[in-house]
Amino acid sequence: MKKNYPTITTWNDMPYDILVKIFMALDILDLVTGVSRVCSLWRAASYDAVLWRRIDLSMVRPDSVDIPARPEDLIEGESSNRLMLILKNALKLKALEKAMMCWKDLESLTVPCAYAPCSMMRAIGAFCKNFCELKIMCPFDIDFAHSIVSQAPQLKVLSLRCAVVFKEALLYLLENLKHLKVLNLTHCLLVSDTQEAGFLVVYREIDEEISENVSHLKQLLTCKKISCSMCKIAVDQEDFLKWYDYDEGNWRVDEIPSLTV
Amino acid sequence: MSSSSTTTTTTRLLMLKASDGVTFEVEEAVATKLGAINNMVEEEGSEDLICLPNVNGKFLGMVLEWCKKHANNNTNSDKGNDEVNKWWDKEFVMDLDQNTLYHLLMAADYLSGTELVDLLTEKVASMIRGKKVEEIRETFKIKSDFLPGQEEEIRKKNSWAFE
Repeated sequence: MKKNYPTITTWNDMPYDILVKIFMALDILDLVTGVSRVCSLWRAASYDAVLWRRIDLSMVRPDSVDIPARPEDLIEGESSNRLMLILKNALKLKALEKAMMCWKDLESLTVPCAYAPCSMMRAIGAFCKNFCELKIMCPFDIDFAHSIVSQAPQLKVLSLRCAVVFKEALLYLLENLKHLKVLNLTHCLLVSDTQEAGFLVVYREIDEEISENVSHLKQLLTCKKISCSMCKIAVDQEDFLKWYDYDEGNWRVDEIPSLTV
Repeated sequence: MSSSSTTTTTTRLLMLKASDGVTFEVEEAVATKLGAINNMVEEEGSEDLICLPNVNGKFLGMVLEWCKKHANNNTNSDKGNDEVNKWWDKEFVMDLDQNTLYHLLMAADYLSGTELVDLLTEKVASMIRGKKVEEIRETFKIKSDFLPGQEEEIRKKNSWAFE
């Protein structure tokens, strides 16, 4: 490390703005473990707010032993007021709570797969007062609907794209989430939990009961489920939704432009 | 829009003069791929000689080579050309040593060649990805200017990401 480099060490003088442009093409791990430790100029540039507006943690492997214990390190010095977070199995619940505590400005969260969505919503409700946009691909049941309504009553945009959506939960949400403006139900599997029989009824289209309750929405995004080719791929013959099979490209796409990552 | 020349088919030629006095004669359509030149042409209108005191002839030549390729291929735009451009860009940045890359990037940024800047920043990013700090310093010949204890402190702070 103590090598003496020739005096033409031009990269030390690279203008800050160009460094930031270069760093925009890197992911968080490279930013934190690599460039932020090279020299003081690179370190300063790696903290530019532009690079931290959208935090994509999807490359952090879920099976890695060292799930970030201190996610707050990720945003040291961060002061942007619009923050978008993309999680993919990345954080344990405790870490997530800690993160939310630091990410007070969090406005948007994309979670392709969540095991404890209600606890996640509790953490958001407790700390993120500006939260208004959520994309999640886990089953949307009545418990989850309750926790959204109680923890994020100000939610404006919700994408349940490709998720299993319980009709009762959806009706509850539409009735109680007053600020909701945009709802994406594209390629989701609408089901109803019939109490007497104990099995699920699968809907092929949005029925009247639902469509009567969407008048306050600015935009409802759906697909023609019967003829939709994506739905055909997603749902197998037994009407099971294979959303967990979805590859990278699929969960990153969304019909809502601000949620396309 | 200047109606000084004879007919519409003849393209106007611009003289670009680099910091070391080297001059390049280029078609306006090629040179205006660069935002900075485009602005000058629009502002000054009639001036045909443009001095660029911040760019060396070697790198200006390379920037213009890129412009020429992309201006030509844009005129007959179809899908195939997109592929050709991509392939050409790949070749263009493939064997650049880090010194040339640095100066080319500075030149492209100074001349506001947005697409070229994007291409070059991506190239630099690809040289950084997945590398350890020491390897990055080695690649770009950067000397750490952290104080003795400082580096260890940073390391400790980010330790969750290294284990």
